[in-house]
Amino acid sequence: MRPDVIIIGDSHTAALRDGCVALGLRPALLYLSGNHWHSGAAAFHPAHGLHFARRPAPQRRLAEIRASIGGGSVFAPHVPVIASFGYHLGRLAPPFSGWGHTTDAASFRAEPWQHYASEGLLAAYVAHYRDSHIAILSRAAKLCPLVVVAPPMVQADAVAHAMACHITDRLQKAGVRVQDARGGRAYDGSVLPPHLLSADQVHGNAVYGEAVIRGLMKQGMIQLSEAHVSL
Amino acid sequence: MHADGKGRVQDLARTFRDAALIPAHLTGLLLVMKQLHPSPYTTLPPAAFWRTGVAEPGRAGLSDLWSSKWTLPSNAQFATYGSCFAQHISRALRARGVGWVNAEPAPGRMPAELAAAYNYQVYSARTANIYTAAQLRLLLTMAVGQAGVAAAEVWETDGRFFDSLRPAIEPGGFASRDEALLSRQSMLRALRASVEQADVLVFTLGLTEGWRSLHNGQPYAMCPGTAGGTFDPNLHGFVNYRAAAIRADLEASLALAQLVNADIRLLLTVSPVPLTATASGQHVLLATTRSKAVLRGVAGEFAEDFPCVDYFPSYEIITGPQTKSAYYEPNLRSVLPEGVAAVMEHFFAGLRLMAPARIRPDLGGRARFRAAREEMKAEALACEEIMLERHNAA
Repeated sequence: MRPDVIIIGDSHTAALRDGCVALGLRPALLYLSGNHWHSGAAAFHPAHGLHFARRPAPQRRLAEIRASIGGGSVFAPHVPVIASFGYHLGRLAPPFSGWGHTTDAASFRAEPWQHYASEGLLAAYVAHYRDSHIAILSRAAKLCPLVVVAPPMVQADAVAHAMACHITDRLQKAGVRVQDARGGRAYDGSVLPPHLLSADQVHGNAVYGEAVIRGLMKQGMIQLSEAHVSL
Repeated sequence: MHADGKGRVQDLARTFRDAALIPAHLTGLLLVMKQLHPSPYTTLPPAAFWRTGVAEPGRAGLSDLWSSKWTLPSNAQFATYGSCFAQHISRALRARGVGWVNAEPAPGRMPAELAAAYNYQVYSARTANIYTAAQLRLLLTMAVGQAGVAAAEVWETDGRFFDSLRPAIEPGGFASRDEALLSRQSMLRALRASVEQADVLVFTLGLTEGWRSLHNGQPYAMCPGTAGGTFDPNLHGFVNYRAAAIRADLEASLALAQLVNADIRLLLTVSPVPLTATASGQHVLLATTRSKAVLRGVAGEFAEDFPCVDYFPSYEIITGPQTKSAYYEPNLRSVLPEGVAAVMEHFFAGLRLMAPARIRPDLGGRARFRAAREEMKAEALACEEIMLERHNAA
């Protein structure tokens, strides 16, 4: 059965999928763990959209989804794609700040053991690990109606916040539409409210997912061919 | 080699004869005289004589060049700073697994080429090259809190900001003056921490020539206009530090270091790298000789005067006649890897890491990094679990 929307990404896809289901949509889910996204297991494929080298399970799933939308690329002009990859902050922020590096001036001044990391340093670090993801998403955005959903902030972390904002900026400059609840560079420590958190405390839950999908539809960031949803 | 005094006397006689100081037919007479009336030279070891110490062994056989004044703990920690040659010492200590203080590490999992571009792991803190004793003194003054973080200039060029203490520390400079000062503060914290943690502060003296503010005397790391900033002859002046000023800066630097670590030892070296250019008005060869001779003289005397100061002869190992300049690249300036290797071979041969290991407090860095790793593992697990749940639900 042809899906209404394709969701591609890491573990944050769970909430997005739940949100779609709650709104009566038929999502197709293409999942790869954040570790594998981070390590560069996915590459852009001109004919299929994506390719997962030495990852048979997602490669099979990719083939299934492609077949369900008529073959060709998973990034097809007639099926909207919601992506939740390219961030994977859990793979970036903890090692970056593991020796005490922070980009937050207030935190640096308050904690004598911290090291200050400049914007340029953080940008160079993020670019090293995420340029390839941004390139995939930029190419995909030219082929299909694509929106990237940035992961929610589940715990106060200035470095993760700065990295997410930087990736969002880079994506937008590369022509990719992004839904990022952070709304700006200023860090105020705010996190996802408890009623939107999953039990593991590191992901949004189904209520969060529904709110995100509803928001995307309201803003016209995903447009469905049939009116499944009453907003 | 010389089991008895006669052998040494013969050496001495041969040395005098070789130097054409006495005719050959008088050598025997000298021998007899020396045996009857021994001089202080008669009991000296071979290393005390040029022929047996340098000419015959050549650069490959040079030995006993340096022996550390100190018996250090087996886990001694070294903090390294100085002119560009000093980075070889940092690298060699790391490579040998000898304790090198890394008080300002690169962010975790930072690719090596990126860490290098941002000048991490070059010195124990991100000071960049410290060419003069005046610069060292200023940095330590700020590190111990006797001068504020903003006491030195920040330069703006084309909307980017450069720390006048280390204008090339970040590719392209900083986004704002605040950011440049925060990064400087981070470096000063690390510099202080490195002195606190180290048993030995290794400082390589590089230059006597430098530039300073005509307004307040602040020494610059580089001439304004070369790697940031704009040169203004009304604001920026050339200085060729003289021996007395360098000695005063070194004494002040040692005193500042001792404020945070009363047991710190200072190991001085002189960079064998000639000046790239001189602004002194002299020929660059004369300016180099002047510079290195002054630095060598000050370092040697400073080491003679203080038990907690020692001198290690990088300069002699590379520049001595025994090398016939073979340790230099064709530009006669850059030191070849085999030259660096020779320097470090003598360094490690002369180190005396024989005292019992010191118990060192865990300052929390490793624990924090372990915690970050655990956080990543826990999150990865949570990520896998949430997806497995979805597959269950499906």
